[in-house]
Amino acid sequence: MNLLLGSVLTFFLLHTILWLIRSRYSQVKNKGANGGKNA
Amino acid sequence: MPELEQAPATAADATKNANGNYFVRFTREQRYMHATLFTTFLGLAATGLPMRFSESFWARKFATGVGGFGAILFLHKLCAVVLTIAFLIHLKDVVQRGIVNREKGIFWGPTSMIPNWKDVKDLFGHTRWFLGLGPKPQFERYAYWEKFDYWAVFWGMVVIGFSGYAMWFAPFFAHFLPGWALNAVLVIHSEEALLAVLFIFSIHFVNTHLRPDSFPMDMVIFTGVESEEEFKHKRTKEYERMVAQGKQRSRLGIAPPLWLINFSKVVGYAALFVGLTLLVLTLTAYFS
Repeated sequence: MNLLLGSVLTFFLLHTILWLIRSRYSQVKNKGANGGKNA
Repeated sequence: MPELEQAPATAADATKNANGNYFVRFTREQRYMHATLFTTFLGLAATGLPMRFSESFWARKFATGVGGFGAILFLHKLCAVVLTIAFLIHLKDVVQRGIVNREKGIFWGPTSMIPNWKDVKDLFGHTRWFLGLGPKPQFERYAYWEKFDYWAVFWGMVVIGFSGYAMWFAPFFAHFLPGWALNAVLVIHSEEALLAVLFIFSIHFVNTHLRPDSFPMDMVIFTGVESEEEFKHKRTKEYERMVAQGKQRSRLGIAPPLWLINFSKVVGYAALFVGLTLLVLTLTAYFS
């Protein structure tokens, strides 16, 4: 049960952190071009 | 799995939208279902966590405030019954539309909630995009993480629900379940519920509302409509399919009124606040 809890949360936590970083990067990169709605 | 082509708006309504076209993503019934789901889920979490971490200071304070752990258990069961009814209504709706009416797109295809090969490809493609190794995938009506959310809730409803009712009506379930199973359901209920709480209040909140292109809240689940720009940006594949099939008109909605936007913000932010507070309290109790 702990393995299930830990692996699901770890996977999605990593997924979410990577997504946040990449979205922010894209947003900053494209800010001038289209108002930051390209993440 | 909505009946989106029964959108209430007409082309004339759409022309009244000052800020461009709006498209229907969720029907009224789906928004009510989500409202019931998150209200009862918050209620279940707010009453279940104090019982799970009954030794923590905040659980004892909360119990004192509402009239003791007996009152908390009563509220927990009340939320459970309401959520069970909502779940059964949803099941009936899926069976009615998918099996009885043989409606297309319920069990397979781009509008279905059933995971398919594209979801696997999108997961890997999205990960490559995170790492700067490829382009961002173009998503269909429901992206892979949204399907995961749906099935996590579905699975949770069955497992947490069944184990909860087994504890509630233990003498009845003892007729056909061995004694060890009745002990096991307590562990299953507690651990699965903890997983659900941690997942919803961290991953779901961030993926759906707090990520940069939705921050601070994705209002579509409250208003039911989204702007054309948002639709095109977030679900490019679905937008292109709609245009290719010439179904734009049937999907047109009307811009949400100001009262609905404000009401949604109040409700949504309150839910976020309660959820994040419960997350902090849970983590505090779990690691102490």
